[in-house]
Amino acid sequence: MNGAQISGLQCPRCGGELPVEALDPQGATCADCEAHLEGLAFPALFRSEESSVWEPVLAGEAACFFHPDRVAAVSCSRCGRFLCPFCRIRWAGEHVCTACLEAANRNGKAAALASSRFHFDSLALAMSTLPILTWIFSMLTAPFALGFALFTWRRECSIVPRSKLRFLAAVLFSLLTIAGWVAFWIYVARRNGLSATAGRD
Amino acid sequence: MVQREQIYRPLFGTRWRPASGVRAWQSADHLLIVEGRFFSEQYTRLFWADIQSAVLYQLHSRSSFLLGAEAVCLLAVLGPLAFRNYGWPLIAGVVFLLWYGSWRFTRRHWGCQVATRTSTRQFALTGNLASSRRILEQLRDRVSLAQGAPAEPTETPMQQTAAFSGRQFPRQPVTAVHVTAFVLGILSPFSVFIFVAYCIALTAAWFLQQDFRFPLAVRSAAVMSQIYAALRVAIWILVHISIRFNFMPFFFNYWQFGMPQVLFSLYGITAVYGRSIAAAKRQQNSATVLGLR
Repeated sequence: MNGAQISGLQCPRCGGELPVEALDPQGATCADCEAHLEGLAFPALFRSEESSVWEPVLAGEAACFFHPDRVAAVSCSRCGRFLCPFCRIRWAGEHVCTACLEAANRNGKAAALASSRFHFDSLALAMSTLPILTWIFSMLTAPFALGFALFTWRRECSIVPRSKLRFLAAVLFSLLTIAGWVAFWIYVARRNGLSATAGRD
Repeated sequence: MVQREQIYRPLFGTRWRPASGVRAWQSADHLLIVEGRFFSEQYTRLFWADIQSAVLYQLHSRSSFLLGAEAVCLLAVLGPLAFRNYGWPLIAGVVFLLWYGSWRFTRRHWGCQVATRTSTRQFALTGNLASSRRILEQLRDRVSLAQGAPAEPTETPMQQTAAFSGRQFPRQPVTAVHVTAFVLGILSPFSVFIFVAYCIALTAAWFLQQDFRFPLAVRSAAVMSQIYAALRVAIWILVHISIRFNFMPFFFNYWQFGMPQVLFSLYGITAVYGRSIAAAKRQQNSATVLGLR
């Protein structure tokens, strides 16, 4: 077995061909980068591609909607079209066709197909904290960050569980910054007022 | 389309580090890989029934170089404080040490690569081998439910698969950012505005180095610089609102405390350069941290 390599799989560190021993819980060392590797091979690695081979349709049998020469295996849960093993897609516990899946994704009804999300909460937090380093800009960015955090409060920032802690922190930092600037300007105004009074006296 | 709501649960041991670039979540029928990119995240779904292999591997870390460089940098902060018998600044120095230590010793040193016929994804794991093995066991249990027991490696030729390799190293202009930070760090004692620019360069470095596959030495240099800059900002605020502790050594015009940030930046540049050269030598045709080919 030594020296045998798995075609197509690569070492995660160096990109070299993966040794067979790496797919063993006991572990192995990559010949190229000497990285320690431990792994598992699952039946899908050895699965023959013949499992998706289609059968020709015979008289009286239902044919695939997209491939009339192939026998149907299931029907689409959404539109009812007959589908061959090649066309059926298992999604959220159902068999659907590509057209229905694409339509659902296009209409935004398939949250389970979402490929990305924007972190409004992280952006709000960054806007409320980073400008503090530059002092003067925080006077402008703090109200904007506060408004942004409140405006996007209900927006979904992730499909995985995510707390509102960043939004809360953004609001808190923004309020503190605004309060600090208000206090500063009140202080400046009072000092100028006292100076003016002293000048008149 | 009627659709069941997916319930995602974190893989064991990957939950308590929300700041990492790549995380893994499990649902009833698939493994969700979440890759953070600045202020957004990208999702990749690997269905249990399609997963062909899972490989545990050690992330890049040059322990001796890392520890040596870190020791030099930390001594540069703590040494002058201890020798000159400063009181309050020493507390700030210890805060720096603890802050950095809490970041450094909770870093991930193991990664997991999960491959299907058409996709290969990597994500970071917890710090030690034992907990990483538990994740592998967890993956094995979930995949076994969908496919049956894991296959034993055999001597017979395996099926040809068409797995595509993931990105080997992030291609980002990190050296330029480090050099910029280095120059600004040297000049920062002369001007508050240059110090502000230095902080901005450090922030950029942080975002560029979020990926867990990045060499730890490079990330540690940026983190040390950032913590030190944050402490200097905090102390500058305390000094300027007239709470007069003996914070003078951290004051802007003191050259001796410009030295640590210069060392941190030098450390970063060295780490980027060393890592890139090693990567380029080993695999000429792949991208390196410098983006060279």
